[in-house]
Amino acid sequence: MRKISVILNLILAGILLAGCSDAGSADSDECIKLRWVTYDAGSTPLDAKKVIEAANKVSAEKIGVTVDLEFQSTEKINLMMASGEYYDMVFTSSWVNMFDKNASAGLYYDITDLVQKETPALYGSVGKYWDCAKVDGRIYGVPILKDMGAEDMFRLNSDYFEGEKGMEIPERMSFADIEPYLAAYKEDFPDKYPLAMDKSGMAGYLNFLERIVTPIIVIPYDQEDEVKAIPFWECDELMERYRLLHKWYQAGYIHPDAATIESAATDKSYPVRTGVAWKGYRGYSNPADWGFNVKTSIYDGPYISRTSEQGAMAGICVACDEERAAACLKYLELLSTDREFRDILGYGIEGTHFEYLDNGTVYRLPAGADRYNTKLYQTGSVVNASVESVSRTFLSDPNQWEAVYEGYDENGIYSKAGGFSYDPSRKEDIITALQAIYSDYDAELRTGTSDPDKVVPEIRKRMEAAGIDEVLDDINSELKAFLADGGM
Amino acid sequence: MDRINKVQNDYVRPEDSSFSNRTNAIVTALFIVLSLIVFLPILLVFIVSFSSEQSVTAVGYSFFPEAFSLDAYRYLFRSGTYLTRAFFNSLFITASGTVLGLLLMCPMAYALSRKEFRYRRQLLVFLMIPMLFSGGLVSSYMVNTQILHLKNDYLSLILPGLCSTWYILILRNYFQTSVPNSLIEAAKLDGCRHLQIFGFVVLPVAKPVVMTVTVFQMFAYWNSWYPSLLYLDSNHTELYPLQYVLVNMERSIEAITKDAQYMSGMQSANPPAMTIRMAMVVIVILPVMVLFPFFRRFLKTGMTVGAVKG
Amino acid sequence: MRPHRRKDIRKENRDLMLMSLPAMVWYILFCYLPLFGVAFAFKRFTPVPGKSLFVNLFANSKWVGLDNFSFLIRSSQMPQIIFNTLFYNLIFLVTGIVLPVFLAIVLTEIHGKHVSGMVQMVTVLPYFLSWVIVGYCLYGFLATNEGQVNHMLRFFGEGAVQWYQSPKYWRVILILTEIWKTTGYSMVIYMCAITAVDRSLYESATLDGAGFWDKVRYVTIPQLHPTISTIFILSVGSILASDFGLFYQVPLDSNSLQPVTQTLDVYVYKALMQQANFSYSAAASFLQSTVGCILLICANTVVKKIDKDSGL
Repeated sequence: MRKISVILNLILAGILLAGCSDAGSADSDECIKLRWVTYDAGSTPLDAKKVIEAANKVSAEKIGVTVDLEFQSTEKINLMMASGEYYDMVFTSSWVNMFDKNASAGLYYDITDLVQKETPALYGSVGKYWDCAKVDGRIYGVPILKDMGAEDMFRLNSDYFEGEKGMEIPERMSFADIEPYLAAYKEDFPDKYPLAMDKSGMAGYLNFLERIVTPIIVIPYDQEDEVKAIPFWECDELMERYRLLHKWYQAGYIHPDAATIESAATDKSYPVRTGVAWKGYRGYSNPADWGFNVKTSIYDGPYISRTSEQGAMAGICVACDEERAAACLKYLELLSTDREFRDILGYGIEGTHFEYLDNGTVYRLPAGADRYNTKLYQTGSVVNASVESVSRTFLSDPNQWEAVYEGYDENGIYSKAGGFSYDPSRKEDIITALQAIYSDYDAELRTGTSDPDKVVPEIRKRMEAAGIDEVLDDINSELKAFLADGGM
Repeated sequence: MDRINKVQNDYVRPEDSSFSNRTNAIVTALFIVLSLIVFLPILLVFIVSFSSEQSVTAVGYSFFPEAFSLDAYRYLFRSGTYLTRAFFNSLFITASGTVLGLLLMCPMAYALSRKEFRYRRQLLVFLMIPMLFSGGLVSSYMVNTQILHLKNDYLSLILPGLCSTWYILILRNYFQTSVPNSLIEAAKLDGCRHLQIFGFVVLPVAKPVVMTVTVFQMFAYWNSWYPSLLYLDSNHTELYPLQYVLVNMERSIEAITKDAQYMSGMQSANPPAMTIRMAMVVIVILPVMVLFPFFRRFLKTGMTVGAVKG
Repeated sequence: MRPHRRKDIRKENRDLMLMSLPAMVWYILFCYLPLFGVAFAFKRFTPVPGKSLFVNLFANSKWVGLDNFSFLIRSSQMPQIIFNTLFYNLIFLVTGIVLPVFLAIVLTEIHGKHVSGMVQMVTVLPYFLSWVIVGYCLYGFLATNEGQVNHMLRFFGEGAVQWYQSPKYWRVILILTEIWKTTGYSMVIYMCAITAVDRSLYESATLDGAGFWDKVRYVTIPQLHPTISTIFILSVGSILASDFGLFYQVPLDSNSLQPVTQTLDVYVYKALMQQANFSYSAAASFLQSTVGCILLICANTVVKKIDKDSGL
């Protein structure tokens, strides 16, 4: 038996040593290679490796930094963050890999001084949006400039609605205004369902609320006297929309199995879809993609709050040394200042995946559309990238972003909570329970399958039993103190 | 040995049966109906996968479709390498997991079956403890990824499932009860070491039970997708086994569609969305169904031994 | 014992030990090494990225006692969840033993060898299909528009049922699904045990004038006793665990069905998908395996009290 135990000890010791000796090591002295993990938005582009290689050649020459870019799903990113795996830069936001939670937990590098010292151009370009990356006055992430306010839209088959039915599609409508369109289609095709819907619901259906604990505790933008966090059931607008959805569901505008359908993306025949984008966005409108012309009509927004501004950010790992953290910032700076470089990660390799059109916009070639079709926000500044035109003839405005940002200043609906953030770690057990409860009803509420007047009181009862009031009190007392201090 | 012979003719001769001819006819008929009912769901999937998309829209997932069509399969096979690759991944993982698992389990089971082995009891306890306590999923995941560095490779899909205490016990029971001790003693007198005895004497006699464990192990690996979920990420789709492609159906269909568009250069070729899902299910279960009749024989012998006492 | 014999024995032991070694290494790496992870359940895991797991778990994380268990009792549905877990497991305990034993006994007596073989082959097949596939099979029947069952209902002039939104049917559906998937397999196990029974016992019973049911009662059942009690004890040990595939994948995670499909495993999975808190998950599985282990030992003792030869 002694012999065995000796052998066992040897094996164990070997494992432990192997486990310990594996700290992150910089491979060469000239180039710093960063592990950058970004959100995969559904799938990893097939040509990712080729494109990253091309980008690395440029960045190594310009700033001596290369990246090992990985596209990961929400679950994998969560797992990575929770398990203490090493990375240099990670995608973080208000909806994937929660920024406020992680920053409060001290997982990100405090870049307040470093970013001003090392990368003044980056610091200057982000400007007022740094506020959304602050926790207790310190900066923990780099906001990626994109559409900073949420605008929700319907995407309608204009060949059918305008051409065949002679209905007009206005540039803006209200949520309820879509009903006659749905009704018209249903009348013509009683076996079909006009409104595209799957278990994840309508795109951005909660954007008109500022979410403090997604999606349970919210601050509506239109609170009049006192700004206060409320549970979602006290928000009349949301409840009204749930009721409408349920009405549409019962009228047969929504597929009866919507709440269990994984994705409605492959079926292209739906005449009404939803999307989240910005004024002037043409990505939904390429007739070649759909087989018919599409017109968009905005029904919400732009809503601007800490939540919407945190749409995409880059967080730097707290375990980085200063040199690596500075390398991350330099890389991000290059992405936000060098348009040609930015377009590589955004669109792929020129000539293979995309080409420049005469007006300065980008057109994705078939290889690009199939094998490197990422969303711009996944790989850095959106504003600095060239604007995409969906076809050679259907051109976008290459300077659309100026108009979009002007639009925020003019018609933006701003949150009154002034950049308030909440650190959920103290009440994590309750919040975990609340979210488990909510997920019992979530898919059926947002697809209109269940009757909100029946289900919501039930949710309320369960959530109150789980201690939601405790969380609400905690949030509201913090919010009060925060606002009394004058916000940020 | 006695028991094994019994297993070989595991049916009761009609003259021994307690059933009269009439009862027998009724019961037989009932069982046939029962088997049909059991088989219906699988049959439905088969039929739907061969139906045309229009038929599914018109009459639903029906046993009697309006029109048959091979569209779904044609689409899948034309869609480039995604599915083929997954199929071969599954084959490779199944084969290597089975072989490696047996290489680990059989020798240990043999050692445990030898009464003269001094540490027999201790080793048995050593094997039983993990059946009662485990560190849990979280801990296994952390150890496998951070200490053993199993991630994004074939090993991470193969290694964690190699051994099972249950199979080792089944093997041991068989070695102990069905391989005559005299055979082993004789080999020892001839100067054989244990490894030789195991390889040349015990294994040939114990072929039925080894086959049983092989079959179990194969099905377990063929059906497993959880390790892929844990240890593979979407940057390594080339490692996906078939079963995981199925779990990820929606994403997979998207990938296949993209692949197909790229391969054939056709834009907006709508995949037959409804039948294609069922066709993928068929591709996954077909190997199981084809091989099953051959394996059934082996299953039974092993079960007998395992079932008599664990 | 003579010296050279002792040397032989030592050599033999070494040989046998070496043969066990590969599997032992595997057990140490994949079963024993993760055991220290029980600590996750009592720690607030706050890793520093890039540090080794042991440092992160033992040096960088705080002990929090039983705090991690509190999210489990926060859900007001907990009584329902526990009820579901126990309800299904108890039903499966019965259906998993009585039904296959009965079928095995009857099938053994059937005259036609080929019929018996065919029946066994077809009924075992579902056992080797994964839950994902079972989910798709069921969807073929129950989909609201395209489903076979609703087509029949419409054909006979009945209204269509939204199966995935009607919890009242699902207890039965889930139980039938489980029966469909596992009964054939268990039946074959019991048939193996029955055919191993000495035939002469039956012959003498027949001479004593015993009918079919008498023989079942006095010969078959007692002979099957050890097999049954082994399986019984093992099922009792996993009474808080549930087959995640059956309760999550087969109902397609449909919200309306929660009241009848939510078991402990499903709840824990859902809570974790939202928060990715390792400590909570570890706490939940620690609870499951502790309760399971205690119950298993109790059941084993009780069974042994009743019948000395049974038990593990």
